[in-house]
Amino acid sequence: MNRRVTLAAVAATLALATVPGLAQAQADYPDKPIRFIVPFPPGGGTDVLSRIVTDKLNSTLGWKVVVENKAGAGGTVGLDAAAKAKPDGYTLVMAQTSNLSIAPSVMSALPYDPVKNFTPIRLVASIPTVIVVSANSPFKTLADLVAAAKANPGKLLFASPGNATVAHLTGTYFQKVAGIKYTHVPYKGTAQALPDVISGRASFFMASIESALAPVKSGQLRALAVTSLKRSPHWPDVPTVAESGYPGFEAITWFGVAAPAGTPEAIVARLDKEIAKVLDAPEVEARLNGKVDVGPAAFAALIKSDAEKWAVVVKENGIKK
Amino acid sequence: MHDVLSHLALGFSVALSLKNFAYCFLGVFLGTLIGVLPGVGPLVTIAMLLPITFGLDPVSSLIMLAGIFYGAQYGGSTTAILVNMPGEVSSAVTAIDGYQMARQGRAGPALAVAALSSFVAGIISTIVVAFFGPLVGQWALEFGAAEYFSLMVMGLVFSAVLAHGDLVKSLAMVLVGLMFGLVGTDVTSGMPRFSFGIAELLDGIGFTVVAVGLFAVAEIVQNLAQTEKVEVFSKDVKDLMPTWADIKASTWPALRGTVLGSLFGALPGITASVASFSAYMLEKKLAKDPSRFGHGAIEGVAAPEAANNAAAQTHFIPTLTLGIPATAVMALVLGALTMQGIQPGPQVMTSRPELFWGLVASFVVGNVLLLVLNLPLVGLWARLTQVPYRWLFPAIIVFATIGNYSLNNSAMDVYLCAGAGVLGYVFAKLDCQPAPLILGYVLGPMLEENLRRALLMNEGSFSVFVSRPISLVFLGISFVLLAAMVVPSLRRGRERATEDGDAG
Repeated sequence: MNRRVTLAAVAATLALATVPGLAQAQADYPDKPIRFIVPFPPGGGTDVLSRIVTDKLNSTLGWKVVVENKAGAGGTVGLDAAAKAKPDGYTLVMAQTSNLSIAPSVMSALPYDPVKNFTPIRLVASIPTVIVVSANSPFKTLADLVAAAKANPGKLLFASPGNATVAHLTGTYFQKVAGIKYTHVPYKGTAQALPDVISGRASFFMASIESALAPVKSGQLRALAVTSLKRSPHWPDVPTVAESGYPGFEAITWFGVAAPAGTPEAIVARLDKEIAKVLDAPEVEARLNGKVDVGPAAFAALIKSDAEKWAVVVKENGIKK
Repeated sequence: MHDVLSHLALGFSVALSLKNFAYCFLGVFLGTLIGVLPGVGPLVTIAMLLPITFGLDPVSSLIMLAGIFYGAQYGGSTTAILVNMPGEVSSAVTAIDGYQMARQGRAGPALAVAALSSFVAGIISTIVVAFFGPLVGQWALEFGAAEYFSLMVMGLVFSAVLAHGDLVKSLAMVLVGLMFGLVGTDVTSGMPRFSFGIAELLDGIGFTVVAVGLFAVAEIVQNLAQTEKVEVFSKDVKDLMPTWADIKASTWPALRGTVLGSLFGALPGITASVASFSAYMLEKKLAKDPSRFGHGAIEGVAAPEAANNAAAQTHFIPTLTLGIPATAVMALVLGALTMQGIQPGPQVMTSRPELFWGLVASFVVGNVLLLVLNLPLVGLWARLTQVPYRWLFPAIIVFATIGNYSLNNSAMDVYLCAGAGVLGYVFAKLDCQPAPLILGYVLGPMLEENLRRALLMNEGSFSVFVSRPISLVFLGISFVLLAAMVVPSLRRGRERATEDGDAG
């Protein structure tokens, strides 16, 4: 290519988009629609989260980021499609804890390698699990629950939104940390579990904070603890598990944008920067339950450390998906 | 009582404001459109429109989203009747008799009865929501694993009468359906079953995929097998509007369908198709001549259409009064409300009366709009059945393929649908009805899941099924039905058994 034209193009891009010193590949990027794989059906939490991010990218930058819902097998079908796509920056995927850090230890034949096949770009949301009980439950604190579980080993019923979900693994992990035992009752999702939890047929329930928000705020459920290291901005009065006598206890569901392995570094850096800007926008921040600031390197480290943590829980308890 | 009326007055003042009326119209219009178009369902539409609704005020956005949802129930029946392709999951049952009516040149009456039944059901279930919303919500909370299990048992026992003719064949079909239902990840243990290492099968086989294959694709193959048959369904479209006899025959089925749909819609653990299936089975059970079903019985259109529209409206009860979404669409609506800062729950009726009652009133407005939209279209749609087979059949296959692919953007679903089509053709040759298969397929997984959960939660003791009153009642009814059917059949053969079953 003619060097002068390239320089002119770069200069023009610099002037127009005020993007500092970029390689040519990135100056043109994106020159066609970007496919954004959401590995879950339209309308789920992952889908809504993804659309908040893509809508903002499209409206502020004039990009054409197109959501493609490719659901199946707990998200692994969509992740696999992303892993096998051309690493040119025109395929992105919204990955989450279960796809990259849990699937490797629970699925016998995972078609992709979470570390080797992906380039992590930026974490979008980090959502704690919450431990809730019926409003009529005798348990007022996490200590009450632990005491009851100690007195009656295996009798308490622990409802979860499904096998090998973050909530299930968190609950299983907590048994070991607190030295207690209870019976796991898996459901097909949060909505299916809620009637049993609200009515008290199940002793307690763990789920992502979003899904339990409405019934807790309306007084049908009581939140005992959240599993993040810091208290949730939603419920500043609900203590963390860590501060309830189990220091360091942390279990979160994170969501982050990733690309196929081998995506050019310059494009990864650009996407990282633009997504970070999107997350900074006050209206987006308001919807995302607190801001996270985790770029490519820290995201990769998180995938690895969570994978190690959950692999131990899965192995010790023989959990399957 | 007086309270409800004054609340409804408030609701109508909200729903009839020019802005909300416009959003209601937009919602039901979009709903009808996407209901008719295969491949675009209310779920995808609402997911795509969701970001736009953040700019609206909550009442308007809720009225519009709700309109899309129940509008799609109206539109879904159109393709089911005309081309045997259920536009929505809940209209799969309508296809059974509705399509046969269309083939006999009675597409007009079928479409009109579907619209009228939906309308009646919409109005009645709105009254249910208005007067008994919170009560029904609390009742739904009583349903645990044991209750759901016993309810499914009752459903399966009812299904024994779904058979035309051969009881053994229909039981075998129920079993095949149960086996299809086993495919996928087991909810209780997390074990993959019959997935053969194929990731797409881990979630099981989709309902629409099976229904479209067994009904639409198989029907076409069957028709192609007959070489010198007529080119169109029927030389002339007989009457466009239902006769007085049609209306009379549909009235009670529509009302019974409404009752079933309203009850099932309020239960978060029941999938959408169960309400319309149950309504269909009930009509067949009550009919003087059950053999008409499957060959264009108008009751087979009226009852399930009423049931699915009633359920679509009462789905809002657990969503709004408990914050528990009964379906994926309701989960979206719930999410939209939460993002607007509204907390659905028992207090929503008192804390945001304009929202709850505005929505309830908009149901009435929306249903009237839908009737006005749909009835004049009947003539237009009915003429579509005059399209020659050589155009219609490829079109149906194309739409079915697009529809199945777009569910998950998965080619696997298209292959599975083709497979189900081949299977449906084989079943037709063997004179086996696909309806019991679908029933086993829908109820089986729910039956298993709830049985195992009930046992898990009660230390393996079966006593829970009889110690809980609602469960005991369901099991009692099942037992009586079964006894009424089995005992005389041992003595006098099955012909008499069906009659006795009616009495019991």
